[in-house]
Amino acid sequence: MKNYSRLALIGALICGVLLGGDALLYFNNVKYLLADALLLLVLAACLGYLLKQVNASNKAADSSLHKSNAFHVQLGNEIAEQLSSAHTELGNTQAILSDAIGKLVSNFILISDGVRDLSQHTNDFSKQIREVVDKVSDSMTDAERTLSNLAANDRTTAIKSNQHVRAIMAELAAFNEAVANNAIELNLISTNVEQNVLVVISTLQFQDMSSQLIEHARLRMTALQEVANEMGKSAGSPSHREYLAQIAAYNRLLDKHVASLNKQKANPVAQKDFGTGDIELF
Amino acid sequence: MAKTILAVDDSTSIRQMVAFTLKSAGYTVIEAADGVEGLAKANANAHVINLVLTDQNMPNMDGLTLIKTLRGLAPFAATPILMLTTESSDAMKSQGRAAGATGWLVKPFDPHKLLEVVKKVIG
Repeated sequence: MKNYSRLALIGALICGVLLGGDALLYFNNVKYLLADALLLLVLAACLGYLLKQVNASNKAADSSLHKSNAFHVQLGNEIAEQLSSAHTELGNTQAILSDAIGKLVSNFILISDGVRDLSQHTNDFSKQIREVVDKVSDSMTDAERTLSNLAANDRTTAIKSNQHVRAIMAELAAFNEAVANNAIELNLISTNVEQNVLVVISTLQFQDMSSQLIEHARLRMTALQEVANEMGKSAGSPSHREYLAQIAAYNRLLDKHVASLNKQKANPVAQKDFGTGDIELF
Repeated sequence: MAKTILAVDDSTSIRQMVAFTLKSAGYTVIEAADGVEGLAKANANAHVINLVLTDQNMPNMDGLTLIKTLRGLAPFAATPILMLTTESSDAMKSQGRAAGATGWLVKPFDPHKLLEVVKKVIG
């Protein structure tokens, strides 16, 4: 606006000089002189009005600039505050998630190993019990045979003993069968646990990826926060030129952070569904 | 004698799950949290390592750099190296192949499939 004022002033001066010259040429003619004087007055009035308008425009522009700058400062501070709050919340969430995943994985591995060991030990014990039962069964058969031989001498006692041995053998057979059934059942449980292990491993991997995504988002939020902080620090009454320089500086800072973040780490998660990833052997 | 696998991943959970899966199949697992630690442990256990399983995006040294460095070392010139990563672009896979990777597995991994590939590569 200052340039327009200068141009108007220069124009008015040129007009004044031209009119002065014109007046001298027609000095002897009062009518022309009067007309020129009136024209000069009109031009002066126009110039005054123009200068007043320019001044008002300048004031309005300055006011807008200050309002705009104040708005940017306020916006910068608000964004920085919001980002700071969100950044902290995400950090807490990530810490909780990481802690939970860590505990879950440790417990999961502990339990899975425990179930596997239990299953293995149960199989070993079942085998040992079967062997003992078989040995007892053999001993009982021998005893039954001995009792049959004794039957001729003491028939009543032999029959009773024989019945007793048979009852023990039946119990042993039932016990043996129960142990075998338990072993089968435990193996089934173990198989189920193994299947669930697969699901848990996939689930935990997705949880781990969520954690990585949060960290990725936090990196970007930190960069945005720095830009917002710079916006919030802006000087109170910058000139038009200073204001444009500030905006350019924000853009440069933002570009710098974007380039830096792109270099640091690509998006850690590129999954498009919940299926497991491809495998390719070169 | 159990075969030994070096598992390199910056995520503790993923590393533990990889180790859990491999150990349950009878393999011995050495764990490392990034490329630098992976390289140090590879050098320290060069005579026993049969396979290297590494992530790509890690602090200090990424997976591709680790593969290139290992391929430059005589004990690992022919050791199978598998990449286990979330990266799945063809461009990254090409870089992996050029660096000397034996194969490319995209996370999340299926424990059975991981074991199938490992068995296929080192038996």
